[in-house]
Amino acid sequence: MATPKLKLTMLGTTGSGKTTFLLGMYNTMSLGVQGYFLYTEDPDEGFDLGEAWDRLIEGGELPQPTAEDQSKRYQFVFNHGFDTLVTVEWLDYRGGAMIGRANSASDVAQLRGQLGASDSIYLVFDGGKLTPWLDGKASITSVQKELRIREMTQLVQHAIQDRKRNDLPLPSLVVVITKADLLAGPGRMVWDALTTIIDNLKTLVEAAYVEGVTTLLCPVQVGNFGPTRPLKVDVRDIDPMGLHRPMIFSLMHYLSEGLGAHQAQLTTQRAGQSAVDQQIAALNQGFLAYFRGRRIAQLQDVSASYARAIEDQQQQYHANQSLISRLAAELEGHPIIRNGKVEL
Amino acid sequence: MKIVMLGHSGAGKTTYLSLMYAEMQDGIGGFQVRAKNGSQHSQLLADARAIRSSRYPPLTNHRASYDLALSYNGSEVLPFTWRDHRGGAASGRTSDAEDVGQLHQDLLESDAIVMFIDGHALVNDPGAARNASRLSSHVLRAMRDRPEVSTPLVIAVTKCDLIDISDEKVTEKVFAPVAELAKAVAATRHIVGTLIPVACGPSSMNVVVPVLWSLRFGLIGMLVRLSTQVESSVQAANAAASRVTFVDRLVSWWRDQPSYATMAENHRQVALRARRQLQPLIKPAEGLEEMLKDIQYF
Repeated sequence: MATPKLKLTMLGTTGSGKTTFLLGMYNTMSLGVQGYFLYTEDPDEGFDLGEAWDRLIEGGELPQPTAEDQSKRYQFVFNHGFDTLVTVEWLDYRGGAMIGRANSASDVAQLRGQLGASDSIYLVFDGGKLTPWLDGKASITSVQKELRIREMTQLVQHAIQDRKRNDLPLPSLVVVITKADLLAGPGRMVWDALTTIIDNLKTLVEAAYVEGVTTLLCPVQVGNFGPTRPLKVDVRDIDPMGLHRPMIFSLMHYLSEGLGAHQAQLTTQRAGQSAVDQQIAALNQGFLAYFRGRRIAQLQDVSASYARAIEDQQQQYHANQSLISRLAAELEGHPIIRNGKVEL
Repeated sequence: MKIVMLGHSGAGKTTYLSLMYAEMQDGIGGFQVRAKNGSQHSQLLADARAIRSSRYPPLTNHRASYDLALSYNGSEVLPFTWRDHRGGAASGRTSDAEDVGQLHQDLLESDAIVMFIDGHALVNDPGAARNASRLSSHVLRAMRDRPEVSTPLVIAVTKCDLIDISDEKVTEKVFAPVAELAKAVAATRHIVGTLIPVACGPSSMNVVVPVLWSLRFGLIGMLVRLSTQVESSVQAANAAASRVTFVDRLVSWWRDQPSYATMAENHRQVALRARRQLQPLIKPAEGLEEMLKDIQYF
């Protein structure tokens, strides 16, 4: 069976921590997390990501933010053990097109096209930019403005429309809050801040509540680097947390959407088999049945091939179901918004 | 059989190869390994002598291939190729050096993989754990790009004479970087893994185990192939024999085609040849089985 391909696009303003998140996510998952492995199709890309991570781990050197005019595409392979579950095309989109500072309209069209083809969209927000609002020193509108949430929401809504028009499953959304260590404040733990964010998420990120869209709110951090974020950090403060969860969620959602397609295929195959079996039964009626041996044998072959396909489909269905349960266990306690309702 | 070594610079791959060769030259349980190329034989023995006097070979700067053969009680039982790579090949860009791509190709074609991780570095340098874990990606990538064929994977933890492997904290540090890979291997049916602590120095430890463990699978594979051949040829011979008639002999002679009697005889000869090849492998396979019965695998 061909390996499914998941398309994923990451949106966020320059400096939101997209590149550091990607780096931490890759280097955590490439070593294996709970039996899941991620590696690049191209060994050189893996080497570059590893080298950049080493610079951070050994020298405290944070990666340079992706320039506004540079987007980067990665091809990952996502395994459970030695079984390849999915290949992932990951696009780290440059900020320029998103915030309307694209060189041309074609850039915006390209971004919209990419989002329309994405099975999962990550909206990456700098946790540090949320603290003035959490501290009561800034309004939610000013935070939205600074994080360009309105632009992102519009893009997501376009993507949803495109996918609906093309009869494709709606994408999953992950609201990735980077630098999660900064969410804590005077008398406020990270979890308290998250509760406030969940309570206000409908206003803050409207796209998360679109009907039919499933959203994960996921705080992540590479370390406890504090609010000043120097270019060089103290390596003792490196403490990666939650970096693998967005990817786990994307895969879980992708497979869950696929279950419906599996069921539909099963129904079609069962109907096909039943029609063939009825034909066989009709041909077996009466005296002429003796002369229809060849035709009956042909139809019996067709029925047998339907039976094999149904068995394969059922096996795949059950395998995916059990995988979805395992993936869901990894996300336990993380807020997921489904059809406008928060599930924990 | 192709055995490929995978490991970073300084993990002790080349040192291992030389010392393994020297120890297998001395022989163990009737088994010996000999290089087919005279100059490689001399070089490996010279390097091993130096290692035994604590002089270690320089880092390998190129890919090398050794044609070796395992013999049992003086008779060759299994030829094999041993591939050594420059350590940097496991941690470089394909665009920087040709051997980086070659390593992937060799892993794709390998019948056994011996992965080297430096035990001493794992205990003393946090970066070593990351490097060791990254070797997993090479194995995963290679396994994805090839059919599911049975493959032994030995994780050889080198320089174990420099660490206290009886200390639980030490073993934990050594095992942690490959724990996820080991779990993944254990979950497959076609890859069988083992972790062997090795010391290659004046007082060596377990040096012959990685090579013999890998060769055991090669030998078993050969036994299975030959047994299958014997079985299928005997079946084909019997099927042909059951159709032997005087008329068939006559018609075949007239048409200048092999008769069923000839076909049965040809199949019988193939079965006989396969059986002759198979017989001398049984004792060595049993010998290896006995010798390695205490090695834990996952």
